Amino acid sequence: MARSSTENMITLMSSDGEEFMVTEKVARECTTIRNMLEDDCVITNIPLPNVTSDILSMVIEYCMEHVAAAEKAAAETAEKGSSSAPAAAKANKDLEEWDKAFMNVDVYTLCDLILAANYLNVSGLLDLTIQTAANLIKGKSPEQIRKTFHIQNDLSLEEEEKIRSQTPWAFEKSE
Amino acid sequence: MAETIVYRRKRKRSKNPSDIAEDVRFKTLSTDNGHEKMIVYKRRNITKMQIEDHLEAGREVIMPTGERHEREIISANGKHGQIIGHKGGTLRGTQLNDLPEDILCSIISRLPLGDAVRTSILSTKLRRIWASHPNLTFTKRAMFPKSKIKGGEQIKFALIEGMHAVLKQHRGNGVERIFLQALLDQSTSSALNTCVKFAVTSGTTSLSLLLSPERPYCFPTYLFDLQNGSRSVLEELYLKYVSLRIPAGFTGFKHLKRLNLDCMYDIVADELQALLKNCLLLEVLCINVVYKFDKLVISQALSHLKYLSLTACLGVKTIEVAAANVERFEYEGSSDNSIVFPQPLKNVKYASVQWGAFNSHVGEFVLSVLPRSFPGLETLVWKTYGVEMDGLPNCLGRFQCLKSVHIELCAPVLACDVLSLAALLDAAPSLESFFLKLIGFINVPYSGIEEFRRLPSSPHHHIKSVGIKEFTCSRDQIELVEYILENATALEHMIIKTKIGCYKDAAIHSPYIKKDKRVVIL
Repeated sequence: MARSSTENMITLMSSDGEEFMVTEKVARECTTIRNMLEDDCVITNIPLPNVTSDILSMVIEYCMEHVAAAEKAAAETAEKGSSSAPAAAKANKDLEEWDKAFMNVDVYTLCDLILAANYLNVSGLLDLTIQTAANLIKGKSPEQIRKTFHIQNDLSLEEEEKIRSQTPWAFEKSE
Repeated sequence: MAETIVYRRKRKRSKNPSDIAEDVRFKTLSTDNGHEKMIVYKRRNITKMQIEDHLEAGREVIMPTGERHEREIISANGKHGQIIGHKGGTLRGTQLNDLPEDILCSIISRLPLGDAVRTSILSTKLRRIWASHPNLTFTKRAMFPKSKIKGGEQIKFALIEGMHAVLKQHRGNGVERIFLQALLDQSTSSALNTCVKFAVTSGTTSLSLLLSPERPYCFPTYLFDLQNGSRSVLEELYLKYVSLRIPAGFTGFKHLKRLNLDCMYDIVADELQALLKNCLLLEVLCINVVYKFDKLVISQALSHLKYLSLTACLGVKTIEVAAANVERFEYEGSSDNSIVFPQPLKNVKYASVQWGAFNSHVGEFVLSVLPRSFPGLETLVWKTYGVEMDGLPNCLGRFQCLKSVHIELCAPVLACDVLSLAALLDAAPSLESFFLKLIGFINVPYSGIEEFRRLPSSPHHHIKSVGIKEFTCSRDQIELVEYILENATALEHMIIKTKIGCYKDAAIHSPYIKKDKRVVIL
């Protein structure tokens, strides 16, 4: 890889054998990888058997965006001597917008992302994906949630009736 | 030269990687200008033309996408890395149901309790997940948002029943917050006791009971007494309309950091004092409306106390505040009570004070006691009914650090002299901003019949911004504006919002308000 930068490059290998080359800084966004790097600093090739390439590429995209945003904020602070509150607020808002657009995925991808974020321990992404999943459930009837998440109902009618009778107040709305 | 291969995935999902590998459509070599890379995610139906458009722009196109990415995102700055030899992964249909339990728990714990309980009916796996929900809110709004019943017995019993069902099924650990707001009283004490017991045994950190004033519920203090073997780790307690009695020799609430006692009519001074003696970790203390008090001492032993709010403590004759590390102080006094600070509280940065009616005691407190007691004060919020020249003696003390003053001045029954606020400006040599909100004033705009007063000049070098709301063009208001314009040498802007249109016209055309480009009249 001919790169002029002196930054350490790290190759991440997905479960289906694809290689993703990223800077160490981006890789360190994943706490799991950071721990590996801290244990063994010469490691350059990290296999990630639990993450498929399409999901890994999204995780990397997220990390890159957040590292770039943090770098930009740090550069601005260094330039002006102190960080200006409105600029920081705008940058934050932009990043939130980006996160929001990034979360525009189907539920399968979302669940895969949750698993990957959990495994790689990317706290920001885990928080974002979990909140997105919660927002998809909020205010919906059980039928709507099953449809949204393609959940197979494996409860018998009797069981269902029993659950409803245990906490009738929670089901009043949907009936 | 870096080689980047761009792949397009086949339309059909395929689990065989070799199928995908054959589906190579585009391959391109990029020059090594690492800063002009672009990642394009696109669903499978991207056309060759679109990709070539990107290539023509001299950028590197990488398509690591699966069929499931239904969007196009262009990451403008790809300098942190690139994806090489990406062939797309095998697709897995991960479902919500497939997620590990701890992740499901954290998803469901972010839902309101009602939504969380409703997930129990989705599948066998999800059935018990909600039962470790950390945030139990029992209110009419949270539990019966669509109920048409306005209140009364029916809602009370439905709420109690709902609460019982939740507490019974809950795993009883990992609870962070229990919030109960309902018109319940001593007659439903057994249900309330169950709830408080649950809070103790489940290790809840925050408990709020906002109940009915009729026959206040007797709080089961004994459940928190260490002598009874209580294992409570409560950090926050908020009680409203609850009867709180502290037995002699009580030890408990050792972990309490935030305590809010609201409308506690029967608490006795000695008992409250005994309670506070136990809470040495207290950081926030709010007391609103208590009676039966001669003296309330916020002792020095509360060394962690940062935020102290004492409002409407009507029956308390003397309040003594000695907690040395308070940073934020709120006080709402009446003419019956007096407040003393044995030592200056050096850490107070923000103070908000309010009294029923203005008199010379209030004036002395604001201009003499406050500067002496809070030498580091930066922000002062003062709400007062009226203000008088006589009551505000000149420069009794000095606020050396005061930067910002907000005054809410309500129209009193008797006369009021806004110009006397100049004394407050004089007492704060480093003041930067001054806001005055006038409430309820109605008067005829000043026409020049009475004499226009000018105070001796006293320059202010730091005041930059001044705002006055609901300006009504009375003589004293105009005099204050003139005083500031003449003395504030560093003034950048003064915004005067008039109450209604006629005052705006009067203010704009008044010969007594100097035409000044720093002044904006709205």
